[in-house]
Amino acid sequence: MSIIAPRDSRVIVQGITGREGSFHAKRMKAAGTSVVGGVAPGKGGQHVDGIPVFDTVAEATAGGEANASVIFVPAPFALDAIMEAAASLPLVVCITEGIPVHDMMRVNASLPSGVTLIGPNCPGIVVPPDNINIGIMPADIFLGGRVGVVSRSGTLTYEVVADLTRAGIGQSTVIGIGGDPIGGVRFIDVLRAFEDDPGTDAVVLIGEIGGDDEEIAANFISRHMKKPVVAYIAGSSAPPGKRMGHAGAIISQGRGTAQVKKEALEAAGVPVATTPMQITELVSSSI
Amino acid sequence: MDLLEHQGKALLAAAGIPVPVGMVAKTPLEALQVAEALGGGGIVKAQIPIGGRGKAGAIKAARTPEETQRIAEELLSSEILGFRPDTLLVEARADISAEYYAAILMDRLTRGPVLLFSSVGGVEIETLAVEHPEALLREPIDPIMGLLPYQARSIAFRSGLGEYVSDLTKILVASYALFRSHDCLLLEINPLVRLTDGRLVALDAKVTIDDNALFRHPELELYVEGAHGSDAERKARENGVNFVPVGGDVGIIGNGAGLVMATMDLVAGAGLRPANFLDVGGGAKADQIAASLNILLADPNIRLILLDIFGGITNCTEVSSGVLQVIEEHGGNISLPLVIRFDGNGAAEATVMLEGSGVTIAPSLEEAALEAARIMGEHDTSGHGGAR
Repeated sequence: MSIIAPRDSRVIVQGITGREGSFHAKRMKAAGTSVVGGVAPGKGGQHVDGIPVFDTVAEATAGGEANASVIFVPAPFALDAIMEAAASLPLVVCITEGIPVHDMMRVNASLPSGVTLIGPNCPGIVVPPDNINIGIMPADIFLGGRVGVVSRSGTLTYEVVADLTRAGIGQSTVIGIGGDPIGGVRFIDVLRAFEDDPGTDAVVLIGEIGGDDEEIAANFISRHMKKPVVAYIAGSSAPPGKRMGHAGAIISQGRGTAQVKKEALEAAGVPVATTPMQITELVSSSI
Repeated sequence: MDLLEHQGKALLAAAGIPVPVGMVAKTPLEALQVAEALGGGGIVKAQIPIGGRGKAGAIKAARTPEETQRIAEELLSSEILGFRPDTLLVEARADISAEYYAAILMDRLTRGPVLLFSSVGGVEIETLAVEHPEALLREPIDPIMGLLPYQARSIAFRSGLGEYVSDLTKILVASYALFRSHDCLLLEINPLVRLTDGRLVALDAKVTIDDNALFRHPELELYVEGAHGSDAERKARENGVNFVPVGGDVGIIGNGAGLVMATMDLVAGAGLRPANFLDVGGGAKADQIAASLNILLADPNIRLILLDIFGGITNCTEVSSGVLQVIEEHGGNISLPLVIRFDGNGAAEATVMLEGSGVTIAPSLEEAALEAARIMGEHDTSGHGGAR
């Protein structure tokens, strides 16, 4: 079963006429996702791969067709795009990287209740059993199944998913929550959904240095989860104080180290893989 | 982007927060001139982007202009905490009665800003948090409302500084306004001092600006260019790749921050020392790959390069093109062993492209790290490097 993204996801693409937006709109459509429209101010009336383009999100959703948006709008305009989507839709997936932290702080404070934001700086959400692919993840690495995956990474997620697929372990829903310090859904929100999902038997959590999302997740897991969780934390060899690519991947004032995250997860009964490949082994033993 | 003290103080001053009288000096002569203008000696402070300057001898008091010049000469020719200062700040001495601590930073837990304040200042915040936790006050700031005056007053009265509530409130509120206007991730005044005449002055300023927001602060452009960064870091920026040197001898290149960190971890796990983090991002072109390789090849400490690519948007064949480009640039033979792991989009074709090039292709991430360890071990025992 799909979590967060409804089974009948019907997606609009904000920024559909840009390089990234058009490439992925076509790719998502080819992967089987229902891409019902796109938004590009001033380009209403055009079509991208047969997908109708509208000037505004409101127009794109006026017919009641869409129930989700995926955003490929450049960073300086992303806050605006997120809020425009949130005014009309319950699910917003923001791929954009490089959004100012202050903007995400404001989005987080003002996002209408009932709206779920995934990202930003994330690869999106894929529901292999339902052929839903919202974002940028390459369709061919996935296999429909019953293991949920939630990750702060992009390509590292593909790495792990490809490995699970090769071992015949299919996925129920794969969600990239993004690499920024302030954003939408956190590990805990996704874990809660996986715990309540009859279609998920076990969960893989891929974390990294910075912040305390993994520690909060560990606390949630020990108190509220019965399903097995397996984790991997990237960045054990990262030096303190340096931003390792992701805006949120930074050990700040001694906090946010991989070691502390591993310890918190292990204390919650979560085996932590020493390499990404070991995840497949650990998942096999847990299910 | 971490601002130097004088840059942070310029922002503070513009925001109406009192800072000591002082001027920047780039030569001993300029330092002398500033000291004379200040009417005597002053405090000479090396401008380097790291804490602990006082203990490291980067901040010295001078009693006369001549002494100022002498100290300036000394500081400008030293290496302090790994930095070679090219700029000094010469400030008038302050008659200090008390030192406080004030900082505004982004709290990831509350997803908003928080004000930290203590009537015990001048020490490291980590030490403060451990030794005087009761003296460290936290005031969460509402992202919409900002820091309201009542919150600043609350801080003043709870710290026993009610007598200075008016000035302290002005300073704290102005600090938050600056934090917001300049997309700061950190604004730390340590110490915020009270002079003998009762005035409050920011004796030091540590300001970190969100790199993601630099596009909307063209006025900080000069600071960006001057920001302490090696040629390698500059070249990386120009080519749109994310590069962080960490000191080691195994160069790492990958596509995706998490993947690169995982690669570094695997390399470290194999007993090697990663030299750097380098993320080429999504959809990297041959030119960017070539530039990335050249950045690492220019580092004399690097003895092997490991390239880890999982093609999604990125096509592995682009990466092979970049590798071949660099090999050609180096006359058909780069001086270091290159170990590459391809997976995903274009992996098979990319592997074929590199046949006979001297590059080692590993079938998996783990095997790439093991292969790297094997090669490094071989070189150690045989006593010489060289291409494979």
